[in-house]
Amino acid sequence: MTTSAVLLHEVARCRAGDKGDDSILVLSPRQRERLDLLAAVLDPAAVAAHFGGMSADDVEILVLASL
Amino acid sequence: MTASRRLGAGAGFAGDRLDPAVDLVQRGALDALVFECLAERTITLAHQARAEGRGPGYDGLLRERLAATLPAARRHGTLVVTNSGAADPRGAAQMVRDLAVELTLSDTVVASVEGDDVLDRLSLPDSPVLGSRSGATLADYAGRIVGANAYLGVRGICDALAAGAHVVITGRTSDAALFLGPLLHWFGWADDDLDRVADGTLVGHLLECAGQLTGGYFADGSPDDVPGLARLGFPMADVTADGSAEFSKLPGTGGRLDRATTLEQLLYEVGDPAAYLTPDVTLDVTGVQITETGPDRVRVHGARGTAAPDTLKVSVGVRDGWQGVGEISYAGPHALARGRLAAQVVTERWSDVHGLDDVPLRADLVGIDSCRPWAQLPAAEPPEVRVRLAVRSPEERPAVLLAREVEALYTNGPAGGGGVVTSVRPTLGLVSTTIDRREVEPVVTVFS
Repeated sequence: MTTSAVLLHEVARCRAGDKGDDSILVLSPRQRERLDLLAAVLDPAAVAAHFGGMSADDVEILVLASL
Repeated sequence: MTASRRLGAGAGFAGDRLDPAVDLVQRGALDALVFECLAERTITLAHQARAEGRGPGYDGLLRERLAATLPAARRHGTLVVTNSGAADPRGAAQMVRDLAVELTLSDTVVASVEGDDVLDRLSLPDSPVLGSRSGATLADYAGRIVGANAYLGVRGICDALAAGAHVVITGRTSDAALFLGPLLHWFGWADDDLDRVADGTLVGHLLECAGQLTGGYFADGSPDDVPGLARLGFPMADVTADGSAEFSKLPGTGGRLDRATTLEQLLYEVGDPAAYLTPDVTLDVTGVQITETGPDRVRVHGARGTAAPDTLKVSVGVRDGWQGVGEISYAGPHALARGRLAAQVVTERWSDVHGLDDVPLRADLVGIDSCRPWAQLPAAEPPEVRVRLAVRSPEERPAVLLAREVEALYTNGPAGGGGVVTSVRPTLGLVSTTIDRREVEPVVTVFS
């Protein structure tokens, strides 16, 4: 099996907003079939690591497959 | 066929462009034009300005917005709804009424909606600060509170429209309620018809940021991402009595309105998509369907609603000390090294000369490490850097010193610094609490 790396922004868009002190990042796949991949890869630890080592406990992820 | 009503978004924030709203009201055959101009920061600034006698307590651009749009709105029978009243909706309504007379539109009825200012009703020790991990209450901010405004729902707007208002001016109201109000007024939806209220709230949520639905905040650098971005058209929605809505923009305007832009706006700043709390309904958008029905046209439906919370969110503005900022640029060979040296010089003097170790100094190299300090540096030497040094302090003195230190880099720092900009200003902070909704009643005043 071969694997290849892809950059996140190549497979998804992101819109950032906030509610109080919380940042809300809406990540939407450019192709619907990529949703499962995003959901599998982007766990709280990965998101926390992307933002410079913040605590994964401070990251909450909601997957909205219905949308 | 069910008659529809058309709502237009005239502004998504206090400083938004004026020309898209003028275009909408002139060509859009709107039934209502809504200016959403009141971020939590904005109302706090309005409270502060009014308290210090530096201006009205309402949006300083309100007169200009209405002067440019009211004649066409009255000509076309378009209602105008806005939260630009900020800290003084009644003063704003009186100003707009006077403006209408100036514009020979003397039959214009203007109404203000107040009741959101709840500062005198809050028990500070009994008001927990939302999100505080230390258990803080508003008592911890005693003496620094500038204003406290509860998020009103739709009722005051509906009452104002029932009283015959052509223009309704509120203070702190949920953004979506500005759009929901006319819908309840036109269609006779009951406050407790929660699915219809949810539909109308969804319409408001999608429109409230104006150009963000039509391609603003979307382009990823290519001019092709959003055609005609410089002439971005603002959105409008045709809503029917069954709650379904079709969103579009005017022909000939720039922008992009499709499933992708709508989906991003649907979830924008929504903490829990299954339970988005508003004063009028708890909104569930997880079952929403977005369908492209034509070029720059989408149909949206499927919102669900449950009862609104028993409490209303209260936004509380607090004085939060002083901020000093100084910036300076370096360009050419070793620009990055000189920028770093400049920051080092100020940091060293901050401690050794001024003894301000207890006032943290922030140093950023804009374009290098200011937004993502954890990111890997580019291998190539940047052609230029902009050094930004900033400090926040309860006292004004450190902010002033910081500004002076950056300016002094001209002749006392690394070679070739230029373009110094400094600022020293008081800062305002925001915290939130809640209030029992039974303690908050909208107050409508009609000017005619």
